[in-house]
Amino acid sequence: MRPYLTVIYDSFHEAFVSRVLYILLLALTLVLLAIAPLGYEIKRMVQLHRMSIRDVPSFVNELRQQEKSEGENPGKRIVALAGGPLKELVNANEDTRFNGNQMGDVVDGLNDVLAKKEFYSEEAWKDVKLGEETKVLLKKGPEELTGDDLSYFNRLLMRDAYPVFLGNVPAEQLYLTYPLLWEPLPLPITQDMFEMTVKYMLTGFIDLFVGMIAIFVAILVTAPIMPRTFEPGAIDLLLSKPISRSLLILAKYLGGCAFVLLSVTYFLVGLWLIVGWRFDIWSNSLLLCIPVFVFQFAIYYCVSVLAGVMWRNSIVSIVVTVLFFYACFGIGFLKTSVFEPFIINPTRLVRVVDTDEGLVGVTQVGQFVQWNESLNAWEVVLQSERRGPENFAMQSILIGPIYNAPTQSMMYLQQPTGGGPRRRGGSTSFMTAKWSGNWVAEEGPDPPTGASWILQDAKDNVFVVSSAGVFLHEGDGTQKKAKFLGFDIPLGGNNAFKRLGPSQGVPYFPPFAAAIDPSSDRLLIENQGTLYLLERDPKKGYVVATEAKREGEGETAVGLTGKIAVVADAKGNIEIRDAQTLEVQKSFRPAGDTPPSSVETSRDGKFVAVLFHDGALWLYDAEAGKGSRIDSDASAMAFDDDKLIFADNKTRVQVRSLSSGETLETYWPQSDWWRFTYDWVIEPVYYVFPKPGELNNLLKYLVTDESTSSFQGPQSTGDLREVRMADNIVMPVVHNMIFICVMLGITCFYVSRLDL
Amino acid sequence: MSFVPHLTGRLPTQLHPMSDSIIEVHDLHKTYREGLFVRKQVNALRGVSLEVPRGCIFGLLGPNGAGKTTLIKVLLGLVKRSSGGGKLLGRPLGDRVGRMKVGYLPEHHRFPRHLTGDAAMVYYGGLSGLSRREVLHKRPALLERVGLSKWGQTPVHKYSKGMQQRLGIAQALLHNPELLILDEPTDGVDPVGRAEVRRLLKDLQQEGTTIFLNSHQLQEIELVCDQAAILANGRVQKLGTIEEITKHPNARIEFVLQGSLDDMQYALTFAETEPWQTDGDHLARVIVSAEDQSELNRCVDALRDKSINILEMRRLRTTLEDAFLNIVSADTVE
Repeated sequence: MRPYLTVIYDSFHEAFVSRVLYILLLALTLVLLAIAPLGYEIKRMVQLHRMSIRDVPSFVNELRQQEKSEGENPGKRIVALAGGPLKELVNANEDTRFNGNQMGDVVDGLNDVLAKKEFYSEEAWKDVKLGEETKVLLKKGPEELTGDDLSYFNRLLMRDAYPVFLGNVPAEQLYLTYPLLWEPLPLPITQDMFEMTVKYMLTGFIDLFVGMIAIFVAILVTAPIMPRTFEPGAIDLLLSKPISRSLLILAKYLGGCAFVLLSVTYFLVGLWLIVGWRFDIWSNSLLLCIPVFVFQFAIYYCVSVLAGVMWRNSIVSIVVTVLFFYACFGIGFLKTSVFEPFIINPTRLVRVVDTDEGLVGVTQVGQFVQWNESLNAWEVVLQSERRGPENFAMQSILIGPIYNAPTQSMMYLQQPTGGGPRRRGGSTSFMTAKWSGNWVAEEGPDPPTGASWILQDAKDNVFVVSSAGVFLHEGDGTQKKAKFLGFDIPLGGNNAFKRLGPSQGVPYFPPFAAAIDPSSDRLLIENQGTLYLLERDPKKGYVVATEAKREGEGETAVGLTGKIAVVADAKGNIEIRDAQTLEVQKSFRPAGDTPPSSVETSRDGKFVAVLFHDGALWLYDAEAGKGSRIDSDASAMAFDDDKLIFADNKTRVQVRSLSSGETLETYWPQSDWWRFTYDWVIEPVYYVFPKPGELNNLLKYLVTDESTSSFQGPQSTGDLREVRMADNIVMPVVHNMIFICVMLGITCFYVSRLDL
Repeated sequence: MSFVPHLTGRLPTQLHPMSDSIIEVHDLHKTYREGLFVRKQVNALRGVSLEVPRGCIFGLLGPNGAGKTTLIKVLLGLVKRSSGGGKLLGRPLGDRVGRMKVGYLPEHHRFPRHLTGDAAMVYYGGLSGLSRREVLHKRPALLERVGLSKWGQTPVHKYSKGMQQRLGIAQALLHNPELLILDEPTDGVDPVGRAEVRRLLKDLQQEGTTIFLNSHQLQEIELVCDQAAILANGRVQKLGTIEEITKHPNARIEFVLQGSLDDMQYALTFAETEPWQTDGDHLARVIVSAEDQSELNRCVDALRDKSINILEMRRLRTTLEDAFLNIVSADTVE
C-alpha cells in the first residue's frame, strides 16, 4: 500500500510545490472574502413591493368598485390620496391588461398613500375588521405617528381592508446589505421564504462557480499529471519499482481527485461558515455538496486520464475532456431542451376525463385531445388559451376539466400561474366546452376571486372553491356580459356563483387544497396546515364540521370518500384519516420525497389514487387498507365508475378495472418520426451516456430538499398541480459511477498492455 | 562462485551453475508492431539467451538499436516479451516481487521537476516500499556515497546531467537491491566522476550486489566488468569473460626489423602478416599472426637466416574495442 500512498502524497506535494494549489486557494479565498460582507437586516414592513399584492388586476377592480359605490370606504381613501397613475388605472377600462410599468404604478401609488397622515378615517374603516396590532396603534392615536411608524400603521390598515389581496404581506421586510457598497436593498421575499431563497441562490452560485468554473480550472491543472507520468525516462523509473500499473493509475487518479477535494472542501466550508455567520442559515447539507463536486470532477478526470495515457499530451488530454463535456452537454441539451419541450412534453397528457363523447385528454400545453380510433392517434379538438411567450410548458394551471353530464359540457377554470403572468394579465376564467358535433369552448361568467378548485358532487352540482369560500355554480355557465359600443359592460355583480359559506376558516390562501366526496357533497379543504371538513347545511350552506391541524405545513393534495380522507403532502407522505374525525389512521410514503400532483377518489369511495410528479401512480384500496404502486410512468389519471383511467408519458392510456385489476382498454397511439427518434435514439444514448451535468439535481436536492422542478421556476406558487418534472437524482449518480469504472477499467487495461 | 559466462550450448555443463544465476533468459524474442493500418514489424530481440551469475558485474555491449535497452525492459517487465522466457532473481520476468530486489537506473531518466534531491529519495524510497523513517535513515550516507550530500535541498531540475546520474544511482540503491541494473550510468559524468562510479560499482560488488551494466563506454566495461555480452541485431554475438572476448585465436607478434626489405619479405613469405610499415630502406614494422610457438620460431629462424636484425619483438593484446568492432562488423557483413 505504501507505494500507492506515496504516489497520492506526491500529487499533493507537486501541487504545493508548483504553486498551483496556492494560487487556486488564494483565488477561492478572494471569492469568499468578496461574499463575506453580504448580510441582511429585518425591518418593519413600511413599504409595499410587487410581490406584496396578490392578483393586481382584481385588486384594482376592487378599488374601482369601491370608488363607484356610495359612502366612505378604504378604496375611496386610496384613490383620493394616490398619485395620478394609480387614479388613471382605477378609472380606466375594466379589461385593461397590466404591464410591468402599470404594476409599478399601483405599488408606487399605494406607497405614496402609506406616507399620508390623513389616510385613516373612522368612517371609511367602520365596516373593516381591524387586526389586533392595528387596534393597539389606533388606541395610541394615529395623529402622533410619524415616519416609518405612520407608514406601518397605514399598511396595517390596508391589509385589514383587503385581506385577500394584501393579507399575505408580512410584518417585516428583509433587506440585503453589503457594507460600503450599497444601501440596504429591500428583498421581495418574506422571512419564511428567506432561507429557501438563500439556499436556491447558493445552489445556483456553487453550481456555476464550483461546478463549472472551478472544475474547468481543475481539469486544466490536473490534465498534465498523466502525460508527465508517462514521459520517457519518468515512467521507466516508476514502473521498475514493485508497483502494479493499474494501481499506479488509480493512485494518480485519486491524487488528482484529492487535490480537487482539498480545494472544494476549503471553498465550501468557507461558504458554509459565511452563510451561517452572516445569514444565520447553517445549511449542513452544503457540506454534502463536497463529494458531489469531487464526483463531478472525477467523471471528467477519468476521461482526461485515459486521453493523457493514450496520447501523453496535456493539450490533447484537455481538448478530449472538453469535447467530452460538450458531448455530454449536447446529448442532454437535445433531450431536455429540444425533444422534450418541443416534441414530447407538448403532447404529454396531464388530465384525462371520460365524457359521453369519448375519452378526452388535456396536454401539457393546454390542448384538448380526443382519441380517434380510425387514425389511432390523439386528435386536437380544442385549443385552450395559453398565456406568455413560452408555448412549451403549460403556462396556466388548468383546473379541471370536470364533465357535467346533465349539460353535456366540460367545465374548467383557467388561471394564469403565479408571479408575473397572474399579476399582469387578468384573473381566472371559467370555461365551458360543449359538444355539438365537436367541442366548442366559451368563456363563462367571472368566477369568484381566488377560484382554485372546480368540483362536482354526486348530484352533478358544480362547485367552485375560492379564497372566499365555496360557491355553487348556477345556471348553464354561459352567461354573457352586455355589450355596448364594443365594450363589455358589467351587469352589476355576478349572480352565476352563489356563496355557500363557510364562515369559519376563510379566507383560504392559495395554493390551498380542496376535494369533494364524490358520493355526497361533503368537502375537505386544507389551508395553511389546517384541515376543514365541510358539511352542507340546507340553511347555512357549508359549515365546518371538523377541524384538524396537520403536523407539517406546506402544500398538499387532498381526497375525500365516505369513510376516509386522504392528505398527501409535498414531501411525499400520504395520510389516511378518518372521514369524520380527521384523525390519522395510517400513513404511507410510496414515492419517497416526490410530491404528489393529484389525488382522486372513486365514486363508490372504495379506491383512492395518488399520482406523483415522478410518474408513480399509487392505488389505495380503502376496504383492504392496502396501497400498491400500479405504474411508474403515469402523467394523468381519473376514475370512471369502477374503472381507473391513466395515461403515461408516451400518451398511452390504459383503462383498468378496479374490481379485477385487468386492463380493459388501451389507447396506444402510433409513434411519429420524432417520437420514434426520441424513444429509440435519444433516450437510449442519453441513458448510457454519463450525466455529469445532471448532478446539479442532486446538488439542489441536497441543499433545498426539493426533488422536483417546476416549469414556472421562481414564479411557482407552489401549487402541486403545476407541471413539475421529477429531478433525476439517483440515476445520474449510478450512471456516472458506472462510466467512471468503465473508463478507469479501459485505462488500466490499456496501460497493462503498454510497451514502454 | 563462478564467473564463467554461458552461451547456451557452448560452455561445458560443469561450468554452468544454474541455481546461482540472478538472470536467466532463454530464446527471448521481442517484436514491436507499429502503425495502425499498415503494421510494421521491428524485431528488437531475436532469440536472446544468457545467464548472469550472482555477484558479478556483467556488461552488455552493442551498437545502437542492438536491443540492449529492450532486453533490460523485458527483464523488468516494462516491455512484454513476444516469446521465450526467463527468470529474474528466481521469479518470472516482470514479476512484481522480483522487482522488489532490483535497483534500476534507466537511460535518459527524468525526475519529476518538483522534487529536490532529498524529496526524490523519499519518493522513490516510498515507491520501493520503504517507510519514510527508513529512507531518512539511509539517505545521508547514500547521498554522501554518490557525492551529492551538499545538494539534497536543491531542486533536481537544477542538477547537471552528471548529478542526475548520481542521484539516479542513489535512488536505485535505497532498498539494498540484490541486482542493480544500470543503463548508461556514466553518461554525462566527468572523468573524475566516472572513476568514482567505477569504484562504487566495485565496492557494491564486494558487498554482494550483482550489477548488470549497459554501457557504450567500452573502456569502462573492460575496467569493471567480469563478464560481458555483445548484442547485435537482437542476438547475442559473444558472451564470456572480458579475457575470453578479447582473446584472439592466433598470437599477434609485432616485429621491428632491420635489413633488406626484400629479404625480410622473402623470409616471411610463408607467414600471415598484416600490412607492412617501412621507415627508410632498412627498417620495417610488421605484425605476424602465428598459430603457435613453432610457427613463431620458424619466423625468427627464417629472418635470422637472411641476416635480418630483429630489433624488437612483442606479443600484441586485442582490446575490447577491437573485439567489439570485429564482432559487430562481421555481423554487419553477414
